[in-house]
Amino acid sequence: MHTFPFAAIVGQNDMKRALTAVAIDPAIGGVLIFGDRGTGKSTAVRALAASLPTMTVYEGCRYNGDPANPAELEGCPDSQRTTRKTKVTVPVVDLPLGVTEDRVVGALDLERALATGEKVFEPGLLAKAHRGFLYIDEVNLLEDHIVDILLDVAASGVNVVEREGLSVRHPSRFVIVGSGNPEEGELRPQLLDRFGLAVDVKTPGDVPTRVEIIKRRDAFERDRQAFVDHYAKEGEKLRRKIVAARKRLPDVAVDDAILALVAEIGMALGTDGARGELTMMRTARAFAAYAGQDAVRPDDVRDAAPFALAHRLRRDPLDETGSAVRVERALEEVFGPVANVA
Amino acid sequence: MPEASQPDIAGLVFAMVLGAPDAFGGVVIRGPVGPARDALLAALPAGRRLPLNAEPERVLGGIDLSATLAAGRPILQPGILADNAGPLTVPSAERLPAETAGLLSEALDGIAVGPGNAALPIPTVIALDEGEADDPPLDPRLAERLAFVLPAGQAAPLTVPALPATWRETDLPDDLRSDLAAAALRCAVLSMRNAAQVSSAARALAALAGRAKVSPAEAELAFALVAGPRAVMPAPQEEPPSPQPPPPPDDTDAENPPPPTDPGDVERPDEDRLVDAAAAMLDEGLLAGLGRLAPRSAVSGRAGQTVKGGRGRPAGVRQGLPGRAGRLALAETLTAAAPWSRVRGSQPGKVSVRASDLRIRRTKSRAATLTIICVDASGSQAFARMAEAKGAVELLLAKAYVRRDQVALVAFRKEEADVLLPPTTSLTRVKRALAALPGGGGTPLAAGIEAGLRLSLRAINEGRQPTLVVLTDGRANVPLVGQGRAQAQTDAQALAKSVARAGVASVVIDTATRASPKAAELAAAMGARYAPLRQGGAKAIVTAAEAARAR
Repeated sequence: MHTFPFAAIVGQNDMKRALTAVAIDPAIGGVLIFGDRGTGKSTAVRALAASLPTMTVYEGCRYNGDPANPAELEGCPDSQRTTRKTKVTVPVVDLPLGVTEDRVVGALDLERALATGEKVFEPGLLAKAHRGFLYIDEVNLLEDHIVDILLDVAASGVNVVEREGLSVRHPSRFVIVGSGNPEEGELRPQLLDRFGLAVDVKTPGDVPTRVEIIKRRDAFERDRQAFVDHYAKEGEKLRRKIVAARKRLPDVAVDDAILALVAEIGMALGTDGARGELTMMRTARAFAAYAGQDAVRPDDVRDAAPFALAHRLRRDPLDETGSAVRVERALEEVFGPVANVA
Repeated sequence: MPEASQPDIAGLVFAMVLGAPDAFGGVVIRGPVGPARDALLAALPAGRRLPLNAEPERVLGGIDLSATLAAGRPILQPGILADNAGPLTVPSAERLPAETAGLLSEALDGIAVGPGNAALPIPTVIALDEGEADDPPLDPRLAERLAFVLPAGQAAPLTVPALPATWRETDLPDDLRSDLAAAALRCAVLSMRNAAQVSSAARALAALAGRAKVSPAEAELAFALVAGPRAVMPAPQEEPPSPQPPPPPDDTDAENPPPPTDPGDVERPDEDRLVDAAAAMLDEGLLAGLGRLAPRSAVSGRAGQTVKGGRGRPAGVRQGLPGRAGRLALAETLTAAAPWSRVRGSQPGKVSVRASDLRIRRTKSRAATLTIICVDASGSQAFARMAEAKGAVELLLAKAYVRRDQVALVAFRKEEADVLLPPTTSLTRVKRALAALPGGGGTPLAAGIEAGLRLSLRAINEGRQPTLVVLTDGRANVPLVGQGRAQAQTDAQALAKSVARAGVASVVIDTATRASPKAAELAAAMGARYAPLRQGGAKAIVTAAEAARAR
């Protein structure tokens, strides 16, 4: 089955930028996408994953362990069964609403237990998402205890299972992408803070854009192969750019002036904690790496700030000003009026 | 006006959803059970039914426990979704649990997987929405994915044509595309998914008419079918002059009689008088609806509900068959079976498990709701309806107590609002605070709503779901700052809008002697339910009811 190409997505530049940034540097954390239904959030995540370089795994390994990283494979029952490696696309795992804890963390393999009496762990979605993306539609409607597990694993990179007489731990590092519609339920601030970046997506409100979206959709549905081929070149370019950016990332310089700038923006907005500033810095670095620069420039910080900060502002129920506006104001304070920014 | 007549429309819709579920998802058939609906459904080929209480394992497929136990080896059972013979009918679709609706949505997106990671086919969903006006709507995720809505009263098709396999090849001219996009914007049908359905429907309709190119008539019909039921504003006159499909028959019924008008009240003396709680009657429907008010959306686990079964935090193990009641607890099951193995004649080293040994893991999700009651204790209020307002609050409390909700009490009078009681589950404390509530003074409505909103936001941050109940006549005369009646009203409206923005579920109970537009306006700004407090004590109500029955 063909995936809709990332390059064929019309508009939604903020979403594409944020997703690309976390693909370059997963340490930024997850992405929270606010917006209406049917704006192509899930499509974008799938498309991005499909355009990333494939990853190597042992054949049939349900934990997606990295053969190049022996520490990760320690104790993995699947990777010891074979030496044959295979390349797979970066996984995108959907976490459906109403999912049970068993399906998320994994559970006792009932089949094996009943058939052979063996106590075997059946890995869950967290294993499946390792080295890939975990996509949660309507994260604000997800039950709290599941959210707690996800955030814990996302932060530690390890899924520890202590249940049903099982004691299992396996690596589970993934980029968490959540979508939500703020009108349908508020997200807890703790949860908001754990997402690295947040973007707003809006249903396009102009006729040409909407026509273009539907046209591409139609063309894709009519002949997927031809459509994917048509965008193959652009997809390859994107892939190369991301690979190059990943390679360059550790060498991108962040000088003290940039750090001071980051701190200044954080102070101007009065964000709680250092997480926002750290994320801002990392995102700016990812942007710089993607642009092929050797060092972070002030403009990168300016670009990164709304992604990293808008969802971390303390909310004032009586202030009608949207957080995006507040970030923009603070940026103007620090950088001066918009006019002199490219 | 497209040429298609009524029965033809149903036939065309069925042809499209049966022929291309990946493009259209299915159809919602809205309206009550009856011969008209049966006739409509009879035109569909035989298929499967998805019962409301279907377990996820039955929907997606999973292990067949009884067969497995009998056979002594795991036996997988394909789910309802695995078998793609005919359409999938969902009766009472509006009451489908969020979990199941989520699974169906995934299946419609083509990303659902069954046992062994096998991809499941995309079903044609026939959702039977039997909801009345007051019932919660169809799960929004599901509703968005089902392209068409037909009223149950729609004439049944004589034949359901077959959708040509090449329907996607049909040409949709650019000018029609633009017209469709512009019309969708004007009708506030914004979802791109719905927009895609319109364009697919136009091409499918053309293909059904045996044409290679979509004509304006097909574009109109497609738009009317998909966008019509979703339109917020009436379709614009000039283009395309699409016929509105017959309105769903359920809205205009005698479900909601207009609020009773108050016949006036006995004068009562004024300020700072303590009034005893008297029983008051609230609209019974409102009380029943309170628990399910919160977020106007698909919420898994409705407010105050304690979900037992497959989801939530673990809450012990007990004997029982796995399924909705809980997931199999294997270790405990084997422990229960082990001592009997000898007696049951199983070979050494093997355990013989009977149905009676099965243990399931119970889970429990937190009933986490907070009802915040904001009482207007001002002079105008105490004067007229304080006693009944208190009675109404007591009725609310009783309901809240049944659900073990937390309750907080805010009173506003004179210059400010007081949180008389922070969130508590102690009903007696609330009652005591209420009984001692003095009345009189100005009406700082804005301050009252603000206090309620602050409590609500705190509750949300703590992961609880607040419901804000404001009892007032809506006549604010003390603003947040400054003075003046006009400013007071403006402030109250602004705060009310903040409540709506914060997405806090709310109810405004109008305590005015005569039903007043002020409280209704407040409710509108707040996005709240509006309910006038009926006149007279419980006694009067009972008498009136008896009189009505005797007639």
